[in-house]
Amino acid sequence: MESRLTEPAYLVLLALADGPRHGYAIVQDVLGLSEGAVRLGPGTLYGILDRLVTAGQIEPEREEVVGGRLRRYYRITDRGSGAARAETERLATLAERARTALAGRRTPASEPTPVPRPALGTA
Amino acid sequence: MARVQLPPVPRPQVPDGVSPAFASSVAFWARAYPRRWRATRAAELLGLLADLAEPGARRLDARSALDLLRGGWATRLRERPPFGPWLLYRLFGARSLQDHRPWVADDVAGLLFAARQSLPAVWMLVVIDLGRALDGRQRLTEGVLFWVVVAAVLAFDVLVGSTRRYAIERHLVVRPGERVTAGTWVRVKGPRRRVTAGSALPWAAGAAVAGLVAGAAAVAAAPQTIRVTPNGAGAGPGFTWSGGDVPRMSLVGALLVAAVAGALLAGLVSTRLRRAQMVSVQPDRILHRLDAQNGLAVVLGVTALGAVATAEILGVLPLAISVVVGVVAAVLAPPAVIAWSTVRRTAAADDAALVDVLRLGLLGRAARVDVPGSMLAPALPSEVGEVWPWPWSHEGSTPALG
Repeated sequence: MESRLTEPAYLVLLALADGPRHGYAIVQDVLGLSEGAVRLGPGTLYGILDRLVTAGQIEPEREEVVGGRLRRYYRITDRGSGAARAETERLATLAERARTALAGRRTPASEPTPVPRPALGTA
Repeated sequence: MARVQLPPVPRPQVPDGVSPAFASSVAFWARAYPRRWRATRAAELLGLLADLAEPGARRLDARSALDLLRGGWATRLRERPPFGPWLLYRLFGARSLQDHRPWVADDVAGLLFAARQSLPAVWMLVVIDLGRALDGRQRLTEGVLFWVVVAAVLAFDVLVGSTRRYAIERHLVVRPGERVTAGTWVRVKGPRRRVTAGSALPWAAGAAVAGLVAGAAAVAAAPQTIRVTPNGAGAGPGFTWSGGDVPRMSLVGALLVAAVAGALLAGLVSTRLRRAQMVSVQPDRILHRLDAQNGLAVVLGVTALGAVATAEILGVLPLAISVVVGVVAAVLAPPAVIAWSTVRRTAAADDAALVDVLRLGLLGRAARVDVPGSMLAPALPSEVGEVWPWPWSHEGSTPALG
């Protein structure tokens, strides 16, 4: 069984889901997907990319030099898509359970007044 | 023994619109990553950081720098070999990391490799020293001679690179029947590497003059000289050394005779170098300038000689080594200075090999034509995955594999 994806790794897989991206585009997509909550630093990004490549979930696709800047594109593999889908299912199930749990919780106004417990030694 | 030349980590080209200072800052912080990682990813990393940086940035921002530090060391930890095989490799030089050749290649290429390899010996010395202290005997580390020996050993190792060369031959050179992996080295025939006279002679002349100054100062000021006497009857075999009076006039005379010999030799060298052609046609030779490592070794060596002379002047050591150093330096310093002075005035400074200048100046003989020699080189990417052929193809050129 493969280890569970961390949130940043999951977001990187989602960023690559609709096509190959280079490092800068991945950082921007992750920022957008997380609504500004996850800003990947360079060390974090390359740590995730290295681990995902080792796990066979993404692979380098091609290189381009734009304005003297080397851009290496990564693409998601079938295994990576499977891992992203599984994580999405897991999160959806968790969200459903959370909704159910929260819906069953009574509001503070409807809760009965707690009965004070007897003082120690008086029972 | 085959020669080795470590492949440098390629520095990425500075992208358009990016300040060279910014590229240098990125290169500095990226050193947190292993050498092999930088060799393949440095250009991509610089491109990403240039995209992320503010326009006109001259240095990497603190947040990104810290993130690179953390990511680099995480990569090093993630890709380290298992502890047991690593210990066998480090302590006993076992070929236990054949599945981790890229890591070993980085380890061997590291600047402090010789120091890391000496750790077991250091621990042994520490244990011996503690044993001596517990036994009430003088500690080794209190003696100047101990530190002189340590400095000399380190200088020798840096100068000839013996520890690194041995490690490459033992751990990285693929043996017949083994599979070539990333980080593997192979034995090939290649051109001889020779250092240029123009870059090496200043160091040689400087070291010789420093040795002469140290030797002369010690001979002039040392309070006592070494005296070696055979052990008497009943004292067991061997010799005892102690301090005695300095035969100063004799030693100064020896230095003067050596200096005169050096001056005569310098005249001869000057005449030979001015009359003969120093540059020869060498199709199987690559000339290179003296590198920083060689310069460091010379500085270490001169420092060790200076420490010995100082110890002799202070009376910590009886005068002995500096006499030999002074005499040798007195003979070599004048021709070295003259050779440097002659070579730098010619256009041949960067085209003549030191070995040819020495042969011509000291022996009066023309340069020998180099033949291809055995050398070690990193395997070509196209060879990775191949099983290295059996001995009859040793020394063949590497593309012959296919």
